[in-house]
Amino acid sequence: MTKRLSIDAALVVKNAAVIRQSILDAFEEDDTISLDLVDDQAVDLCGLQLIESARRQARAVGKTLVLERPAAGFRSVLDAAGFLTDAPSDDLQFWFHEGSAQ
Amino acid sequence: MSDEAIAVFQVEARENLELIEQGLLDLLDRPEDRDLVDAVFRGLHTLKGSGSMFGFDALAAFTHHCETAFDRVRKGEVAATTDLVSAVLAARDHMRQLMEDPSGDYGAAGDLLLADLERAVQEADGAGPPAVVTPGLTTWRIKFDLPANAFKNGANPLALLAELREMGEARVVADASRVPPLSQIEPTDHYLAWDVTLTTDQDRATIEDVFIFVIDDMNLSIEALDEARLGASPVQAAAVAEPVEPAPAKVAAPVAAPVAVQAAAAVANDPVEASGAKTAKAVESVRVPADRLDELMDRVGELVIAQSRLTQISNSGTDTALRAVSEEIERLSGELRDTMMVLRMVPVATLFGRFRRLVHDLARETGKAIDLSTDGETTEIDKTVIERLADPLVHLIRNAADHGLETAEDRAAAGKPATGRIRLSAHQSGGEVVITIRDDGRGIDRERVRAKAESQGLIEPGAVLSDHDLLQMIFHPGFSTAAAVTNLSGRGVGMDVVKRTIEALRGSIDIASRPGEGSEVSLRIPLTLAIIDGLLVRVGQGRYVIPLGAVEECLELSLDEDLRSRGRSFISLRNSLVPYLRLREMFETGTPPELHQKVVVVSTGTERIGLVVDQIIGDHQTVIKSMSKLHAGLPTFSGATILGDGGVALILDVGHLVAKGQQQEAQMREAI
Repeated sequence: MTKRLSIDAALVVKNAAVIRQSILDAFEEDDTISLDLVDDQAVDLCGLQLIESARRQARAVGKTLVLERPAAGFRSVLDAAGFLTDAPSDDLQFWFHEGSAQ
Repeated sequence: MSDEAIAVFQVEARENLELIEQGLLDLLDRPEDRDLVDAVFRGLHTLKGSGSMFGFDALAAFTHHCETAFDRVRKGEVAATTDLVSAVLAARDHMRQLMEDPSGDYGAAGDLLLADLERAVQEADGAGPPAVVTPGLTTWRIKFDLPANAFKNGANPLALLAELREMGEARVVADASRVPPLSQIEPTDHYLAWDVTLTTDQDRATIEDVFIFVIDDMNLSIEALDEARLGASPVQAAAVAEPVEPAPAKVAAPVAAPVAVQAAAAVANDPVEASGAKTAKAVESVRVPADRLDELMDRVGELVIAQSRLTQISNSGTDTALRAVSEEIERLSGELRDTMMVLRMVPVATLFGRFRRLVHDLARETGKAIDLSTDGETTEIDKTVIERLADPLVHLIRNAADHGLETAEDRAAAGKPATGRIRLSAHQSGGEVVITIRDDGRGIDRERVRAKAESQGLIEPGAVLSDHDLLQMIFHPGFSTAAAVTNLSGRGVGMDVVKRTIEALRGSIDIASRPGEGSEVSLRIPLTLAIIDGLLVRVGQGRYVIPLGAVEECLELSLDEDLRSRGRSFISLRNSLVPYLRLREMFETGTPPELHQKVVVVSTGTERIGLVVDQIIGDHQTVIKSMSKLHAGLPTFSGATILGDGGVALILDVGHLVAKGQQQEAQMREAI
């Protein structure tokens, strides 16, 4: 089963603690978590770091984390922060659903 | 943006503007000091950044222009000439205005200031060292990470990266390898690092400048990939020697870090640990609203009152256990009171610092060369007192600069150095702080003071006055001897206000002046306004408190001596005659004198008198309660306090009583 977790709050530093907790709670409920981010959701580096951290958590506990939709709106921030330079294919797959389907 | 956040920004911006001002003023003395130039630049840059973050766009834009101009000083392209620094000082005032009143329309004034600044920069351009030759294109490898608290502190790595990109061709690779899994992450800590390859015509210093605000806390290595063209300095070479690892973390200060930070440090590595120490360092000082301190002070005051009641109850019984606890509580509340006092103390340096700018402006306005020196800046005084001292001191310094100091020509004619000196000093003396303002100007013209006092009807023409009394005339409302009212002073609204303010602080003001040599105004201010150690005495049925700091000694006044001295009211104290006041008579108690009356000798530093009381009860921690409006006009008392048994004791105003005693002595002398 896939647990869909929708995140309406901006992915920014002030919401980081709350979002972290809701993702952790979701991991408790299911093996696959799909993050539903709204379009044009505000994001900052702290938010990106949090998503990275969530991916690590999934790997560490043997669960799966995906995005409900490609996060096209994050591309400019990801690019500016240097996350896309030499990015491995699973990063591109995760963020933009590019490459082979998971 | 919440009002609270904006208020915090404004508090910080004020501090920042103050630092900028101090830096600029120091720069006038030491224009070559690179550290000062850097400090001022950092201040401007911070102000610009935080201003724009909090929506103060006009401030940010204006500051940006000043920063750009000042950047040329920092790069060594132009010299920090007096005109340039003065122009930046004027611009700083404008920034303050934009910060305090962001909705105001100050565009035109700002443009004028910027034009002045531009002119000053251009003039300095000729005087400055030649511009640094720009090297050709170099490729740099820049690796950096930020401290764990970077996000919380509002650092924006994206802005840093954008600045690097602006310099040339940049390839930015984020390193998220230190980001822990979600269960271990401290969500607002910063774990990212970057590896940037930048090809630019800019030099290493310019690249370092990008990190100017975070450089103290971060790991940064900048390595020229093309070493042949630009040699690395030894320090930088050390960083290069270990290009994969970040530069060694700074030695952590041996301060206990908060638990959360330690936990974070346990899961991550060096940089986090280093910033953990930084967090701990930040804990060393906490910003607390002053009214919370006042509230705490009130509570401590109430506690002290309750404690003295407890002491009284325990002393009246025989319960030794109760007495032991009571003594313990007495000691603790005494310590608490002392700690509370220290909390409220601030060094007068914060006050003195403001006057450097004032003197700088006064010198420019009056065309006089003025040198301000300060002394005893570490002397500490209650924060409330400091704030209320600022205005009187501004007045006194203006007076010294405007009335006291002569023009350069007059000084030369009088055989004095052309630069006038104003000396501001502070020192603690018992429970008081003495602040003196001394100038080496012309001194107070007694004849003019007398003429003015006579024309205003303050004294009878030809009245005989002591020099001291004559000088006191200048404290009368509306009194001014300045022939012309200048922009600075001479409106006659000064000295009486100064005197009233100082007296409202339970302080006293004194003035001394020698013709041709200068004047000195001394302010004696109590260390604190809230609690004093007092000597509790009884006069008739009433109890009174004499501030212990003013008490010199206590003597017994035998009935013989009392009768012998009747009508003269002097006691002989080690070969000097000290006048005394019978409080029983003053307060009209209607009770007969006790058999063994006591004399409490009090002084205000220079003068002393004896106060005859019926009984000395003992020392008493006195929480000062101000008198009601109805009784505010009673000069003999400076306040009241609540005693342990719930009764009220009035606090004697020693300054007033001493003056009264001296007056009595003078009358006696005249009569003789």
